[in-house]
Amino acid sequence: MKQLYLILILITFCLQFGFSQDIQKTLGKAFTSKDSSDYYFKLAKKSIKTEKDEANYFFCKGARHRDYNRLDSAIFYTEKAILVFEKLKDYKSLNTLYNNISQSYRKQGEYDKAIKTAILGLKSAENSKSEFWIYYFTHNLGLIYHDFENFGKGIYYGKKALELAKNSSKKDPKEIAGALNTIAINYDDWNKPNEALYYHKQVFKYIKGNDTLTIGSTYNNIGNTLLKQKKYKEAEKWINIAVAISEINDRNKADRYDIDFYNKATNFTNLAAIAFKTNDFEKAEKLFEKAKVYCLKSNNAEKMRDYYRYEYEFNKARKNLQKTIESQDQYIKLRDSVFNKNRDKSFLEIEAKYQNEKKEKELLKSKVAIANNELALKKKNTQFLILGLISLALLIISYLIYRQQKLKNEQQEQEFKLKSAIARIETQSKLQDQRLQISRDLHDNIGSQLTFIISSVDNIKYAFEIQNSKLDIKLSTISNFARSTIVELRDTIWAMNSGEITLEDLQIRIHNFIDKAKEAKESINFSIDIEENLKDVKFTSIEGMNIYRTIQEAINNSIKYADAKNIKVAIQQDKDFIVISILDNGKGFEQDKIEMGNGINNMKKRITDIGGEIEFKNGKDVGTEIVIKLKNKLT
Amino acid sequence: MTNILALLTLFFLVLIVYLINRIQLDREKFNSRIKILEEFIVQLRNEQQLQNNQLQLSEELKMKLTQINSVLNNDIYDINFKLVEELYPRK
Repeated sequence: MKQLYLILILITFCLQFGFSQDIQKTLGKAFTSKDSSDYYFKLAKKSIKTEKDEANYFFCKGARHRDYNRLDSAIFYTEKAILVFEKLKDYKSLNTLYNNISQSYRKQGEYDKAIKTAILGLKSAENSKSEFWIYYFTHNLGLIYHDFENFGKGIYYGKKALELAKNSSKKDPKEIAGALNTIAINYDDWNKPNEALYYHKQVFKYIKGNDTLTIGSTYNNIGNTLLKQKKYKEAEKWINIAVAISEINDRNKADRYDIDFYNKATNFTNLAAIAFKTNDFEKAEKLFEKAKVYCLKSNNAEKMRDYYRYEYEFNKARKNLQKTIESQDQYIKLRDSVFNKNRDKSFLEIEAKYQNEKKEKELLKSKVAIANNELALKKKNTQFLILGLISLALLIISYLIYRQQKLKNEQQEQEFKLKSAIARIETQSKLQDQRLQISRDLHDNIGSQLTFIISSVDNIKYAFEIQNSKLDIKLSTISNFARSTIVELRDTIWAMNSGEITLEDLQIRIHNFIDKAKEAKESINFSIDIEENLKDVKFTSIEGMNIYRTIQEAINNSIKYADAKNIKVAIQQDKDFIVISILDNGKGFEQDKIEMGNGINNMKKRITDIGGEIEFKNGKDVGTEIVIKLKNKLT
Repeated sequence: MTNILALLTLFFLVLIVYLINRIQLDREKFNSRIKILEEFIVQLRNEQQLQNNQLQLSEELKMKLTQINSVLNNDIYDINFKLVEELYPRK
């Protein structure tokens, strides 16, 4: 699987950078050819023109050396390629290179370097945001920690890789199986076989059919766990399947790659262990020989270490002291080289640095997330506030529309009422107008009839020379009565025709009346004085008529009953009132001794009707003063 | 979203101002119309008052004329009586 990825990446890489056709073809041939690889690499080296060409040359060369287990060379060329690609900030290529170099270090048992490069690879993968490489480096870290016997961390990275694989967009079953395998082998070597078997068997949920050819290691690992559980027969069965799968795989890619010595070394070491544990020493010896060849060819420190451990146990079981000591020495030497304390410290520091950086990044991310959340919250609050405002605005608008409608209705109602009132008043006005017209006609008629009566009486008097004095007086009385009625009729018509009556109008009218009175009694001195500012005071026709009639009655009384020589009418202002005074020098009268006649009562009634007051100031032989007090309309 | 909401709020605010203004204008229009009607009613009332006054005066005159009529009737009756007495003295 790893090799397939490598080829794919190489092809993508070549297409992406588009280096010259010649070097692309040549490097392709060098990478795929088994026998003429060195020849093509030499050709490619000659075709190098740019920095990129050189980097790609080192990339392919390193990969090829790694495939052929020439680990030192692989590391040398890969480091060279990394330097150039780091300059070019080509993270995609760097991901592959860091993986290659990490794998090489792992095979060599240089776990500190393996972890360091795997962590660098993980950073590069995070920079390139490649889901696959993030998973792949996490998974590799799980494997490296397993090899270094730090199973706790191995399981930690294995589970993390499993989570990444399950949550990835592709959800590749092979990635999930790889992560499950990493967890299982860590549990296995941590002496937790049940957990190991649980995770191992989970693999078969994801990998089925022909794909099982890719999980030969899982069969071997199950066998290894069963071996530790001393279920030797069962273990042998599983490991044999792993050997068969390995054979098939080797046959399938025999044209391009060497045999997979790493897996074979594992399988045969385990089979040898089963053989000696079941006391089949002869078989065990043969298998150990095979295993040793594969272990040496795999050039893998871990495999060599495992081999020597089982060989030491085997020689001890055979009681071959010399070989036991040799195997033990080899085992201790390898174990110490692998599990050097300083090395542990060194990669622990690297990992701590990576974890710190990661935590800082996460902290920064969480700060950004908090800031974003705060911003979003603020935005949400603003939106809520605006929504509140909109709701309020909608409420106000609804209220305003409702109010406008209500106002319109009220206005229409009010307008209708006013129009109805106008119509009613107009009807009443028309009616009154008709009545007035009738009255006017009647007055005209009465006037002419009275004139007719007067002229008829006068004609009778002069035409028939009436001797009877009583009859003559009676006729004169009728004639005078008719005349005075005409005067009264004219006064009323005057008042009716005048919408408003001023005091000046009254003055003129009273003067006319006095002039006529003087015809009967010449000795009367009459005066009427009105304060200049009161001349324009207006009364309604009723008020004017009542005032006129009262003054007329008062003057009449003065002439008729008091035998007055001087009559003085004065109209003055007293604060908010108009005071009309009618003063004579006649006989006067005592109010309590005389019976009030119709005239005085009428005077009182007329003045009270128009809201005024009337007062009689008199006594025997002291003259009479009648004072009328009216509200001044000008103030 | 926030911008759209803000625009919507602005639109509603403008609408509120427009509605308030319209209500105010309607009210002013109505008041001026009502004022004319009220003035017309006052004028009609004044005219009616004038007519009432005239009718009241006419009514008073009518009463007066009734009295005058009765006085004149009596006077005419007396004259007639006296004329008859004059023409046909009692024996």
